[in-house]
Amino acid sequence: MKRRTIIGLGGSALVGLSAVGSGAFASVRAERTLTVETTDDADAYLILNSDDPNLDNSAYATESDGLIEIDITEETETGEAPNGDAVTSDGVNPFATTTIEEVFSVENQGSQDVEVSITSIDNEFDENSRFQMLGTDIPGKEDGFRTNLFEGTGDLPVLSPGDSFAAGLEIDATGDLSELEDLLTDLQVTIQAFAVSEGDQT
Amino acid sequence: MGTGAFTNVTADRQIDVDVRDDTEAYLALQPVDTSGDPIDDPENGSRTPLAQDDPFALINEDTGRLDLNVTALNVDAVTTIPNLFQVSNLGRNEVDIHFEKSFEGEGPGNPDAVSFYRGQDDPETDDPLGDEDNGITLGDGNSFVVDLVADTEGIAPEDNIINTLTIVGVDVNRGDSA
Repeated sequence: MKRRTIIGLGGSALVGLSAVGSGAFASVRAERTLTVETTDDADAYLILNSDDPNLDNSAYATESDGLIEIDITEETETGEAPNGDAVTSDGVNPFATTTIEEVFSVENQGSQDVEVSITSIDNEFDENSRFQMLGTDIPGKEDGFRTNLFEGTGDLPVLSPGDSFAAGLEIDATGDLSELEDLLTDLQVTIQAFAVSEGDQT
Repeated sequence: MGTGAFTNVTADRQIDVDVRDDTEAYLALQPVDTSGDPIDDPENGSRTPLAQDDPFALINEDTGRLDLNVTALNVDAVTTIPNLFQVSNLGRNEVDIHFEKSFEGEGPGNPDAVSFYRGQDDPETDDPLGDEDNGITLGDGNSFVVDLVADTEGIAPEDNIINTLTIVGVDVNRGDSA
């Protein structure tokens, strides 16, 4: 999944300062240490945790090369039977709409409040498509509150630093199944977190 | 009329050369807060996100230099850190300012994954602060805030990215590079 994180909100004009330097300079060349590193989704500014023990359905999410992936196919192991055999998912039911809440958690590890949403950079889906993502367990919302996560829709989760919510998904398999399969195969979802400045929170 | 021949004269004159820390130098570099204003205690550093131990920007107590830390980027993501630091021209002339990015260590690193913009610029439409051909002119007494944009597509968690940012300011009338 590709995502866009904005840790703070910019916007600053040229500012006049009173000059305290004592003279003109011909040139200055200042080398400074800049440390930039990436880290796994599980430890980054925007944590996407595929292994959250508090979530009912995290078996559908895995992390690979630092990136979270969701797999809902016949091979996905979702539990263990009393005899020790693996219980596997059968994929979603045809001619039905399947909702799977609490697949992975999203946590703000930045320094400012952020509003979290999803989008499709390749326009593979939108808020009317047969694949949707849902947010639950959102701080400040009542139990059972559920919202669509597509950008520009619903009541998007706002997370203060340290807060998290659960992301899930909904798949509408009531219509043409081959069309749905085309949509869901290797679908890329972009998760974005934009800083909300104080007083700008709607 | 005496012409005053002399064999030699030794005249001691005093020259004061002070080194200031980055916040007070002719080309001043300062940590800023979320609004883009310089912070009161730069050695303590600017804001620190939960995912990293060090603040985004601080003045190193020992060296007097600005140190920058952006160490918990998500992989395969575009991250913007607005208001990383401020550049001010505290000299008495107009200067051209440009940035140079480099990585020194094992392998080439990925310095091109990181770009810098002025706070008032829009990364969607404006060019990043670049080399001498794409710098900006800053009048004396003026300043701008720097935003960092990192695109980590294709960069794995253990890959090196960048470790040096060089800020170059040259008098506009001088013409040659530093």
